[in-house]
Amino acid sequence: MSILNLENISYRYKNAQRAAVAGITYAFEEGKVYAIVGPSGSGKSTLLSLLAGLDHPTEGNVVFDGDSLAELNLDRYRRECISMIFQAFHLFPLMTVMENVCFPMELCGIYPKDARPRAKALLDSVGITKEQMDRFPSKLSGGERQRVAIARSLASGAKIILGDEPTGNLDGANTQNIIDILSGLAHEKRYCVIIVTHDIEVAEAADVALRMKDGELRNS
Amino acid sequence: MRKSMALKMLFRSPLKALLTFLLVASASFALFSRITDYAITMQGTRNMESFYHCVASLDNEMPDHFYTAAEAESRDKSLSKVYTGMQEAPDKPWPSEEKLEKFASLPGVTLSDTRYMTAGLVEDYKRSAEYGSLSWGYIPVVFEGTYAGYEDDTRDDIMEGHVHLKFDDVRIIACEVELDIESSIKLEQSPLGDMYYAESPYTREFFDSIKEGSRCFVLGHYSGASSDTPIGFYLEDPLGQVQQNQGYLRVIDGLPDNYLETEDFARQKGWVDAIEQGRYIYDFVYTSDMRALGYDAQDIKGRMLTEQDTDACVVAEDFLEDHNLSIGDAINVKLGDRICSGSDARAYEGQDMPDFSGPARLTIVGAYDGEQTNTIYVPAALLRAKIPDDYEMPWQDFSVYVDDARDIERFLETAEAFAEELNLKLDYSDGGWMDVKDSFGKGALLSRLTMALYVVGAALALFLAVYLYVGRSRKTYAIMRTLGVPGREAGRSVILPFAVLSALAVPLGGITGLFYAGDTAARTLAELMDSAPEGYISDTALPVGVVVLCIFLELLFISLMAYSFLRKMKKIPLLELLQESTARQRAGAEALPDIEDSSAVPVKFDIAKISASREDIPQGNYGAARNVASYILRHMRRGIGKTAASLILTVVMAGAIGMFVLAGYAYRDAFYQYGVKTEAHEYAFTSVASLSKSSLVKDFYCHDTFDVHVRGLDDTIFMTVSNDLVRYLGDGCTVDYADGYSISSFEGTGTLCLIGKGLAGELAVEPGDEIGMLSGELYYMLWNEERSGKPGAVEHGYKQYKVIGIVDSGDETVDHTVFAGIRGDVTNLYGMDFPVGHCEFMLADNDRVDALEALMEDEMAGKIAYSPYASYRIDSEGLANITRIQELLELLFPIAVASAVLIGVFAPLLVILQSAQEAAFLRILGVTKKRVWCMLALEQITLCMIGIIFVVGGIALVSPRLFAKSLHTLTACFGLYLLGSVCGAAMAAVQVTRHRVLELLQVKE
Repeated sequence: MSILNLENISYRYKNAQRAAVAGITYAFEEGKVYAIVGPSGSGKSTLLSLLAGLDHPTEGNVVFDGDSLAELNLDRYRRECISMIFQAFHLFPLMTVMENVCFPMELCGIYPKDARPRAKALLDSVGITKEQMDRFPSKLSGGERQRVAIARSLASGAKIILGDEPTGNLDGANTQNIIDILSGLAHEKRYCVIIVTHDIEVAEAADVALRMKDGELRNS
Repeated sequence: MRKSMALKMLFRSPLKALLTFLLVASASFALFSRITDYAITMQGTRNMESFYHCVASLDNEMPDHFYTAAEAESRDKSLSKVYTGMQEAPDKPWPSEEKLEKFASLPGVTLSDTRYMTAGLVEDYKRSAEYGSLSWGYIPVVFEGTYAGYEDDTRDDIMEGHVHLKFDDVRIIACEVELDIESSIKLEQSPLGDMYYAESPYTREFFDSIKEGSRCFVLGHYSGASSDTPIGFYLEDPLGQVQQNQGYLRVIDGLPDNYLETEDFARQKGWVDAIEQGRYIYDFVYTSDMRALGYDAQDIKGRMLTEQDTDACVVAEDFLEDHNLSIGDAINVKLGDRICSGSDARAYEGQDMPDFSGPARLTIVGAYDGEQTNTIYVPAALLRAKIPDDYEMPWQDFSVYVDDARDIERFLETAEAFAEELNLKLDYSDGGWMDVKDSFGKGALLSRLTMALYVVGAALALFLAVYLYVGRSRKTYAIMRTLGVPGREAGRSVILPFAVLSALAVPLGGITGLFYAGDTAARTLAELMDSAPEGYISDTALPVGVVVLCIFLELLFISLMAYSFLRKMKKIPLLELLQESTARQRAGAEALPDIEDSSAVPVKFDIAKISASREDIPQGNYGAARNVASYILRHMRRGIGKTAASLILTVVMAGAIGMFVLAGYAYRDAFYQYGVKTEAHEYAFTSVASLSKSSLVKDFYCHDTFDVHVRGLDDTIFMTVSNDLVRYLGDGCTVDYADGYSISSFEGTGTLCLIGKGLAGELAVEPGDEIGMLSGELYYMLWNEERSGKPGAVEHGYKQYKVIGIVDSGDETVDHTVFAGIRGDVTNLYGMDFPVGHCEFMLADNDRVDALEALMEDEMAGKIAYSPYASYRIDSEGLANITRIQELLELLFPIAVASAVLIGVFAPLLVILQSAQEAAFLRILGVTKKRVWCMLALEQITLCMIGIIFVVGGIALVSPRLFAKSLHTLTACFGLYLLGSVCGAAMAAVQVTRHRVLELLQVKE
């Protein structure tokens, strides 16, 4: 079942000669891993912004679960409906691993003491040990940080995970770990995982590989 | 590549570059304006301190005492008088040379000076008549006149035995001053030879023996006009010494025209020559350094004499004016060989003139304005006179000088103990330093503290700028190094843009601050120069060398900071730099798991444990406020370095503002605490009485003593009027009051008095009795009226005074004196308004010095008929000095506050701009814009408030009194600072959330 629909969305930057995203219509479904590949400048990050509600399309509509993003509170949409993971992890450096994962729950009104058990469970589920939970992100390896980022993305209960080159800073083993986690989330927990990547391994592991070129999205 | 990279870094982050530029420029502006202010304030303080000195002498004088002479009789027993007066008591022994040397060696003493006086001749320039010389004193005069007989002086008993000699066709032969006289004169009070105090040949028989119409040669002295005769010639020894048969009056009929050249008239010729020569004789005071003469000596044009002078002199301004000379001209002088004591070296004895050696040519280097216009100060090196073994030096002629105001207190402590040890009194003048030293010290300390705080604050701000621009360019540096750029070149590429910004910002901000502060101070000082003491030089310019040095030091500091950051960067492995593992860098390289080892233990994760159901997510109402507070507190706790830097910067800047405010209040306190003393001499009594009631005046004190006739006594006695008889009489007196009366009775307007015990005995009066009195002036007026045909005028003229108390003091003078307050009808007793010898008071309101001056001028001008010699002095110099510093502080205050506030705006702004990426991610997580603003801005605002609270607490502890007084000013200033921080933080927070989120997450800076 499609959870996120793109209805002929276009996006043109100011004074740009051509659209970064040109008339894309696509339906993303639960339970699948989507990999969007494409050369630099093809509009992948712009598309991600539109999916995350960080920008409004100049034309068309992004529909989440039947509701147009134009009519939704986008802050709430980003808090509760989608989550993002990045190549540079973007964990809060001054928060411990545990606090990083609790933070999205606090944003949803959950008290820290109530958030901790769930955060612990999420971190445990992505293979973060108890000792590591009280460390600062700078004390973790790249793979561990990305797993913490994934755990954080799951904290608020969002069912859509958007990844911007999540394996870009990782070695082969860690990349595989991340792929396995994301695939597991999609297939076992019915998450919709959309990853923008240059990594062939990720693209091949995805359920659907899409190619972005000149602002248009096609099946790879 | 370095330059192109550097230029790109500079121009492609225009906002960051601009803000960094402004931060550095603001720091420089604040630093230099504060340095300028500090320099000007300290310079002004030092300049003003330099006007305070101390001159001290050891006073061995014993007060004169009242005496009653035994009866004296005239030769023919026709007259018998009892005379009273003041007799000089012998002074205490003068300290030995050894003791004087020890006195001159006391801590703080800069120099000592012993002064001597001789007569001296100034060629070509006659002496002018000095103030008062025509109304008293002896001015020798020689004249010829045709004797016209004499008449008895019948004015009163005292004049009995005196005659008035009359002369016509008078021709002045020699006189010290130019006299404009009638051709016929009558000599005043020539005593007949059988008077008790002069056994002279000039008896009645002598005068009877001179044929009327005889031409006579007369020697005498001139004392100006009196109330009875227009010209006061006295046939007496012109020098006040009793000499017998000096040939003061000789008949010259039948003598040749050149009789004065004959041997018979050798003595008279000697007098003529002496008088002629005397016209060129001045008082020469020999001094090694005029600074030791006291504060009056400092009021001279040109300069004072110093130890180095050998052919210089200082004369009176009147001398220059009379002889059309100016400073820099030279005079030829001859120096006398005899040391004189007293105030007049010209009081030579008869024809025993001193020998004059010379001539010496002296250059006039200075001119004083004073009453003794015929005194010339010359270097001690020129003294040729031998000092007699039995020479009794007047105590005023030896003094020590303390140049540095800061040594005065220490000197006075030891000098007073030293004087007490010698049983002498320490006489000193410090110009009021002891009253203002604490304020100066406090103001200087506060200024120094403010300066130090600003330096620290500026250093912190610069450090922050370096950290934010250079320290955060790690990734750029790492990327360049990764691409193969040599380390040094990569470092320079990072440093270069900041160096360019600093090289522009530091001089621009610094010199702007320097000139702005200096310019405002210069304008202020220029306006105040009219009222500045002579010699006060306002200097608001810093030496060029200091300016260059300050700029150099600031750039050096920035360079060292930048170099330090670069060094740290170079030590960190490139990969870590690229991965931005800053915490790892701070903690030092802690051992990390081998993350790159692909054979590491595989990760155990279990997706099944993950609950995807929203129902498994706990619910709650953890509010936004708590979320924000928790975020901020965590940020402050965990980012302790940045927190501390922000806090310290706030404490330093707010502390600097606080110190500035306190300095202003300290000087304001000093202004109002400074006692402005006014002394008025010879002001009319009615003026004095009016002044005593003026709202401008406090601590008023006056006294005057004049002669009064008391019914029942033949002779006049002293009467002293004062508004504070207790103070005048001192501790040693007791008063036996009549019932119902006390000292407070003098606050009323009744005609009341106290009399001395001796006088009470003579008059046989008791407390409560009345006595009749009238002033000596009024007595003579009424006596003349009686002689003119108004019998009983004197008797009816007595004013009745009630004796409310008898004074017992053990002092003969006091025992024979009448005392009264000033509220009674004293002018009625005196017969007219009269000049009061001494009056002093403090200014009640230091803001109204001008009003007081106007009042004194008005009173002086309005009563000039009764008090032609009135003068006053308002000691407001110290106040003017304090006002100068106050006005400087007030002018510079806005600059100081503005520069501190600027730093308060930019510092949080830059810190928040550096958090752009974190702000972006908060937005990604769904944090609303407003909450992001709060998270970013409130941390900085909270730190600012905490810093201000620290400062407020510190100021309250350090100086609670000044804190309480300046509370509203501090509140306004700190409020402004806080507002600046709020604005800076708010602007930055809004700016940060305007960017496209993904762009921020993908861009490092």
